[in-house]
Amino acid sequence: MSYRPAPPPVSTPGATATRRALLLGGTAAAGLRAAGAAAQAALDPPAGPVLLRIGGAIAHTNDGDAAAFDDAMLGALPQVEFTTRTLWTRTPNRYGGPSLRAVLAAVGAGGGRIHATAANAYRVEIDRRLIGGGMPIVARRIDGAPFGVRARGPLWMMFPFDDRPDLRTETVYAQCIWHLTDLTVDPA
Amino acid sequence: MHLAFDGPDRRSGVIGALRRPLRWIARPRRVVSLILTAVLVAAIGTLLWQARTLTRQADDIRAARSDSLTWLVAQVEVEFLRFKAALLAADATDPALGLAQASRGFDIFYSRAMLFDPEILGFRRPDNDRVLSSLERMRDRTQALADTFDTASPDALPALHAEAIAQAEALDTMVRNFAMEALEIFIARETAARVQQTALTNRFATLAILVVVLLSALLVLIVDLYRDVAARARAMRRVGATLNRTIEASRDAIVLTDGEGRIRLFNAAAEATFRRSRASVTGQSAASVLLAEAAGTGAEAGAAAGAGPLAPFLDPGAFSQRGVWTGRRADGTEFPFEVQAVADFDREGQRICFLFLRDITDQRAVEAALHGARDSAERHAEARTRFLAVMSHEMRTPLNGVVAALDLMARGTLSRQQRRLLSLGMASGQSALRQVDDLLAYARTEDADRTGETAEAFDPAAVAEAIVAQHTPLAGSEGPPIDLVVEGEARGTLLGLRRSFERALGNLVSNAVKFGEGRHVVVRLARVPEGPDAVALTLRVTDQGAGIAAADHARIFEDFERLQPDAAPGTGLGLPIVRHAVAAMGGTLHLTSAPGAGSTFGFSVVMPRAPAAAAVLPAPVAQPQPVAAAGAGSGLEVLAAEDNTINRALLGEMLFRLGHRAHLAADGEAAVAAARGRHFDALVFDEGLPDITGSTALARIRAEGGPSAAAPALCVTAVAGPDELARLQSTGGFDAALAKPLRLDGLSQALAHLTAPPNDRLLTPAVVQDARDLLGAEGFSQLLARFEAETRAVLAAMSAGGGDAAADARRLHHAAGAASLIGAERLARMLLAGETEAREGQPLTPAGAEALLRVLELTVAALRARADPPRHDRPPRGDRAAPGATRPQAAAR
Repeated sequence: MSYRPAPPPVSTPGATATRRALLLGGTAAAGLRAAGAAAQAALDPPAGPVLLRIGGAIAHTNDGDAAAFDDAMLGALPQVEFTTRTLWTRTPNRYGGPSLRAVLAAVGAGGGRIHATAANAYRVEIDRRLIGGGMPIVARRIDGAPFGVRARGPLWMMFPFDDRPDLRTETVYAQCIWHLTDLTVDPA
Repeated sequence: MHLAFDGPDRRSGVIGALRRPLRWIARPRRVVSLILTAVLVAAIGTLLWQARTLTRQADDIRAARSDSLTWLVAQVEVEFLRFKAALLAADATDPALGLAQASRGFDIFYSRAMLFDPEILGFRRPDNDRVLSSLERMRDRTQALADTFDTASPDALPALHAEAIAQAEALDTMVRNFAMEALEIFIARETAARVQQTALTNRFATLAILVVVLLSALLVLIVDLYRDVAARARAMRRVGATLNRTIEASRDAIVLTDGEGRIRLFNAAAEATFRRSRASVTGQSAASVLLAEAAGTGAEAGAAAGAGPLAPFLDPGAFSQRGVWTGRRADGTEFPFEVQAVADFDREGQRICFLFLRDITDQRAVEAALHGARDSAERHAEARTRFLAVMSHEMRTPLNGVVAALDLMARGTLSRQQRRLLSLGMASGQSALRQVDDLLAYARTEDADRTGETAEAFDPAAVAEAIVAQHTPLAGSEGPPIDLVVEGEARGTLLGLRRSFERALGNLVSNAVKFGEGRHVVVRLARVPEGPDAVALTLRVTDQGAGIAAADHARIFEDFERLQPDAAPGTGLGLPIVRHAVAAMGGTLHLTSAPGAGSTFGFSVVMPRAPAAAAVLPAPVAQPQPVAAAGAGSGLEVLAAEDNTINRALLGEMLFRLGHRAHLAADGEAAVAAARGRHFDALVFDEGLPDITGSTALARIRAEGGPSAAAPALCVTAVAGPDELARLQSTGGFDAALAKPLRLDGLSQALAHLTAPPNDRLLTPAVVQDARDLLGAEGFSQLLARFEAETRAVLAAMSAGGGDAAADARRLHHAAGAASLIGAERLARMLLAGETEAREGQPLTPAGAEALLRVLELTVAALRARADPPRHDRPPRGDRAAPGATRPQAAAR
């Protein structure tokens, strides 16, 4: 038995591609409907290791007053993919995962501030004005493969810097939190 | 009231001209402002470029291409220490859990350590060799630790723990070193960037200051220029205002038009002149408003349509033009005005034209009045002259009858008493005739230009001799002796106004005789060469009369003035005639006289010498001619035409007395008819015949080619005057012409000239030839010498003779016979004439003797030439011209 956590289940690339096409090519309303539909159902408890825990002002919980997500649960949410470079990588990579908006919708998050915390105790507030249009995503795949703690995983908040030069500022880079483990939503 | 110069924009050419010097003064400032502007533009350009650079740097900062490297590097140590703490905290109670937690901490540290790619950190060799090797070592050790964790077996956890702790201890220093070295580099890098930014900012600030300075300079310049422009505008307004006032105050109408002739300005005088208001004409076509001609004509096409006839004035090339036009006032009345146009360009380069107009109605009226006055004066002068001419003509006709009748009567047998009365009558008649002639001469000379006298060649000395001879008293008549003294060059033909000369000298001599109280009169003729081609001629006539006070010297030359109005005879026209005649010759009058000392009248005139070829005219007038010497012409058949009954009878009587047969005709047609029927030896026609003129009748006779077609013709006219006489001979076709009244001797002489074929020739060639052939050259020379000596003796005896007329007549008769024998034709004739006069009681005058002597000399010279072997068959003809009968003085004396 390894001391390392089990790798999260992998969604099929075809389904991911389809969802991405749906989100990128279709309207934001479709995404919202999907998120809304997910919120109706009660949040199942996580089956695998918990990758993300969301607390604070949220409507749906499955772990006390928090909502815990394993990789499968995150993979069940609508997926978004884009290719970009970052300050910390040499080459462009394809990042995939649910949009932050979809994640927040899944827990029925209110309109308050959002604080993100990493395994290395890094903490940053996510500017709500940046949320929308399929970004940022809670990336759980790089080039289709899950990535571990040694590779700044397993979750990494990611913005499409290549497509949006205006995002290349210190403020946005600071919100690009890796080793993401917790989200807290302040009451509105 | 002000004019339409609205501000400095509407600038006329005058104001534009004032601007030009100002523009020159402003030029250096313009150059400065141009340079300043160029520098400013360059500076602003540089500033903008710098600003762009700055903006780019700001963008770089904002883009945070490097994230916060300092944070990243600092964090690596933190995460390593967390991992190490977790590792040390793992105890033996649950080594698996402890190690799992330590492994998680390691993973986090690992992800951070692996992040430090040299490229991402911007570390370059060789500058950052030290930190790069530190990094290398740190990463190698980290990787080694990672392998340790990955390969660990669950069975050997305590060994793994110990191994991990050992490795972590080693790694600790490496991480620390790397972090320190990296931070050092970051700090240096930041410092460099800050320095660069400071430099950039400083440069930007410097440029900005420069721009501000430049802008300030420009501002100063602009303010200065503005002030200047404002001052100039004020000056311009002043000039404009002055000009406006000047134009407004002008008494001349002033109209300013644009290039199309539309009125821009219309001053008060123009309003008054054209009786139009300024408002009503502004913008109108000047031509249609001002000119009478243009009224009603529509605007033609073309640039200067409005200008119409004024268009030429609007051409600025024609700077100044003048013209006279007919203007039209608002009420339709027309008037002449004079326009002076000044065309120019205004400041916008548009053509403008100032028209200065003046109503010249009054000027025209004054001119017309002056012309009228002048014409009237001329008419009056003409009327007077015509009156004089007509009166003299009217008076001459009866006088003609009186004098001719007396003349005929004098040839009859009369008692002493009758003869005395007759001579009194003759003198009176002749005096009256002289006065009439004076009047005629005056009327003629007063209008010297009209006489049209042209210069001709003549010998003044010969003329003077003739005039002196005229006035030399004849035997039995009273009068002072006259001497002629010729000084300087004795003779020579000059080119001048002969008739004027005759008139002037004749009147002076006549006056001297008249006022000389019977004492000796001296005529002096001085000729002094005036250059090679001219002669200064001075004539002086000295009498020993009462003399004239200096105060009267000027007055007596005035028309109709007389020294003593009641005492002296005459019309008072003599001296004015002299004055006119001398003026006509371009000479000067002089007078030396004092009461009791006599008078010397004279004149000086410069005349060119006649060309050598010019004919020498013979002594012209009134040599006493033999009345009875008509031997050659006696028995002529003469056709005479005269309408006046008395004059016709007198003419017939005269011809009869001269031994001719007269055929009388009362008019021209009768004369032509008579001439057609038979041959006449001579024709004597009055010019003023009632039906056709004498010259017309003559022309017909000549043209018809009848028997008398070739007969010599003499004209007799009452229209006295040299011009008329000359005309009758030149264009009238007559061979000679005489002025009325006819004198028997004049008629005789004229007929003799006309009918004696070798007329007035010096020698009779045939006689000379015969004598020479008969005697041989030797004998002929001896005869000639004897003839000369005898004739000279006769003349000398007569000059000294003391007035025994009968003895003179005998001597002259003898001399004439000798002359005839040797063929001296003219001399014989003159001697015979002298004989005739002597028989009538008139002794030979000194002048007459002088004339005879001259002819004798000529004759002898000519005969000597013929004494040599014969070379000439023909006589010299040089002196055959101009019969003396045509001289007006012959009749007018």
